[in-house]
Amino acid sequence: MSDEEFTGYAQEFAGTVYRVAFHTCKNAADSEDVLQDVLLKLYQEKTPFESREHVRRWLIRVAVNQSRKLLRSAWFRRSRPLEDCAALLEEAAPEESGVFQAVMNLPQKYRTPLYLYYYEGYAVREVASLCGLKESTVSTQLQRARQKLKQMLEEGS
Amino acid sequence: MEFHPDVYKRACSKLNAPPDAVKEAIEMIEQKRKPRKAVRNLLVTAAILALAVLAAMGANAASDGELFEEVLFFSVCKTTDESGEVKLSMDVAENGGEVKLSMDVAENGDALQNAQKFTITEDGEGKAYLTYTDENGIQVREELDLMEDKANAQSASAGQENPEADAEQRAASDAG
Repeated sequence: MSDEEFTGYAQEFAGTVYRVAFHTCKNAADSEDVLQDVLLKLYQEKTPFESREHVRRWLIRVAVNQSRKLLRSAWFRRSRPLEDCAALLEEAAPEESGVFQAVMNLPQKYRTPLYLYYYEGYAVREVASLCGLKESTVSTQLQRARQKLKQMLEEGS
Repeated sequence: MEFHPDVYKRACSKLNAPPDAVKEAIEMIEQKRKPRKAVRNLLVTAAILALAVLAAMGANAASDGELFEEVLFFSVCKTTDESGEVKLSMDVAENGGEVKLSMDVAENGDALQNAQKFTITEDGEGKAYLTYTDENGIQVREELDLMEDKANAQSASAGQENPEADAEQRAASDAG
């Protein structure tokens, strides 16, 4: 991979990697660490990529794995900061902040599939592949996430 | 109240990686790229120098402090051949002449075991000996009668035309 290609991919997909990490870690500092780790792995990757979409999927998959790895670490479990996640959104309307905070209050296992399905637009089968889960598991998680969100948003309003 | 995916998508679009974080990641990776080999070679050289100084200090202690400044008359020369293999050679002034030790340095910088081919020891009569393995694999033991040939040793060291090695030698002396 040439320098120009790497820089181009890094700038184009940094947001995606950061958001995937944020949906797992729920804080900015750890998400930035995951972003840096993932970009380093991209630079070190020897296998040639077939297309930009291939790069995007590869980055999401690595970001999911890196975030989970961080989540499992003893350091993370001890020092996870409490953050107002919605405060990190740039100029968000109250409605947007409310929905985003509700998503962040979901259990961790629901957040990343929800993000990949609704924001990145992947089908259930693709989400399952990216998260290393069964399709049926992803379907169930999405369904339960919607139910919980409805409940939380009703209680909030 | 229902969950509206469009609202969630709008919210997510407002969560972006800080530009500084992306820039920092790119710069960090760019820094990792090029100087790696040079840094590694410098580390190898530093390791050899450190070992040589430690050997000299050991001999110095064994000779009641008489040997120390003499054994520091060595220089390390680093060369890279056409195949990219790094070689270090160490010149030790001895009896007005020079003993040349060469060691191959693998690309991974694992040079210390080769560097341990030489030793400086002292017998019960206060004589110091340099023991090393020559290119034929034969162990050679030579007396380091440096106290009697101080002037020659100094001139032997000063006569080497290798500015890089001299700089390294000075660095080693400073470190010592």
